[in-house]
Amino acid sequence: MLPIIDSIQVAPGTVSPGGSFTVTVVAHDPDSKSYTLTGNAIDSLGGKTAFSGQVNISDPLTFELTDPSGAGFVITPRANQPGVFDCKAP
Amino acid sequence: MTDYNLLARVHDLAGNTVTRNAVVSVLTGTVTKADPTKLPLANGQVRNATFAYGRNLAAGQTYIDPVTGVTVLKLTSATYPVANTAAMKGYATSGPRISQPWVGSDGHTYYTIALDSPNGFIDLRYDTFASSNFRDPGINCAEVDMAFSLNQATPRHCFSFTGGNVLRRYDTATGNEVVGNGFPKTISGQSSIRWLQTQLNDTWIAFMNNSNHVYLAYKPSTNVVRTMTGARSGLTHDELHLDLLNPIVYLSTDNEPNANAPWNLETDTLNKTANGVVFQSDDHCTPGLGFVGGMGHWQANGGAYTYQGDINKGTHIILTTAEYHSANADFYHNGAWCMNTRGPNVVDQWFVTSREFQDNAGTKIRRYALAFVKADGSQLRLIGHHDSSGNSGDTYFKWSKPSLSPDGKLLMWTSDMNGSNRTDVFVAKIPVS
Repeated sequence: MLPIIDSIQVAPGTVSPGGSFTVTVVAHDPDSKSYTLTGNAIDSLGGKTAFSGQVNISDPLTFELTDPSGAGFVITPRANQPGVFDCKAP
Repeated sequence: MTDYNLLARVHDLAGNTVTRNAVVSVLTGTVTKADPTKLPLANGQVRNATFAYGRNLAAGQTYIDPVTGVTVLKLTSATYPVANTAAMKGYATSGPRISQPWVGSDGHTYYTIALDSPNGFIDLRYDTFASSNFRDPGINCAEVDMAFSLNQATPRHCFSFTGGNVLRRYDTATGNEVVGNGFPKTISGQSSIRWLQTQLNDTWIAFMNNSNHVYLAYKPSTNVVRTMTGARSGLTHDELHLDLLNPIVYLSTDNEPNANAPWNLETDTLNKTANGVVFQSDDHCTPGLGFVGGMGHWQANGGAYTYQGDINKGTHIILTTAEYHSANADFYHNGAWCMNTRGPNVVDQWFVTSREFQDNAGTKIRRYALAFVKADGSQLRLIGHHDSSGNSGDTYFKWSKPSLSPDGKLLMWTSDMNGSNRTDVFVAKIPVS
């Protein structure tokens, strides 16, 4: 299934020429699944303690932002923040 | 205004792709900049003795300065924006206390102004000079306790402390706190932090613990906090001034010869190289875009000066221009103009000075004057006269203590209006080109 874009935020939405703004894209993978794994810890006397953990399996998503107009926007993906782009208007 | 559609694409590992548009509006037309050279040269002009300035105006009315022709708005009154006994803007430096310009949903350009009294924010439409939407969302706006963001992406955000040591970021449009990316931040070991100030992109934010004059700086992107105690610097701390461009705090001192020692925040090193000119009690100087400057120190003779904390060489550069004011140098300064400047270099920058209660005939800056000073000391341009008659006694809150907007297009000050029994806030529109 296609990834789903939950929201796109442009802040501020209006800038002066040369002004800076940030575009934040929030998306998720609808194919992702969550599993709960369970296990037991048993000591030498036979005492048993159950434990569990949850794991999510999903495709890593790749985000891109481009300027199809060719107007000269400078777009820089923010390091370690997928979906966040620091931009500068032409 | 032109709308552009940026294209956002999201892919998964299987190559599935989804796209959406992200719309951004870019203002069109000629971009103007504040231009002090359109103001008259300051050459000793005095306040017009017969002109009423803003004394008899209602809030929202304007007057034309009779000496310079500058348009001045009386922003407040006893009943506006709310009933009050004294309206004030706060201190000259720190902050900034006027936001960057932002565009409202009606397409017009606005600035948000922080008032010390009554505490809160008010929006000012640039073209009509109409103010609106005063609100007090519970954010401390006292005179050295808040700063508007200097990140171009967040022109309506501000910073303020709660509880004496928790630095918080707020959206002044909604009054809501904005968390994440380094905020909120608790400054451990401190309890009475004030003197909040930021720089371009909010890279470093500086402040002082008021009870012990410990200078501090925080870098939100790395969670680094720097600390400079008086014991460490060997100086008697008074004010700190964060460079608007460089990672430097200038240590303003109290009766010390090593005035304006630059503290490099990235390397956490302090340069106390003798600066060659002694400006003791230099506490009213201002940081600017790559410099700290003033018109001589608060208590004695001197000329205009700028210091550059050269982050590569660690040296001081001093430019002195004498005979601007002779003795009795009772000045406040503000150099918040750090965006949309006239040029990229220190010598292209301007800061503002005010003269409060003393006077010297034959000098260029007389009592009541508000003037631009070019950072190389080569020009003085008169903006007008603040008409505030505070003197050297117990009238601290009557002094004008002017502050610029980050783009230099607005100047705000407090005035007691020729010794009236209240103070109000005035805003001047600086000429542009």
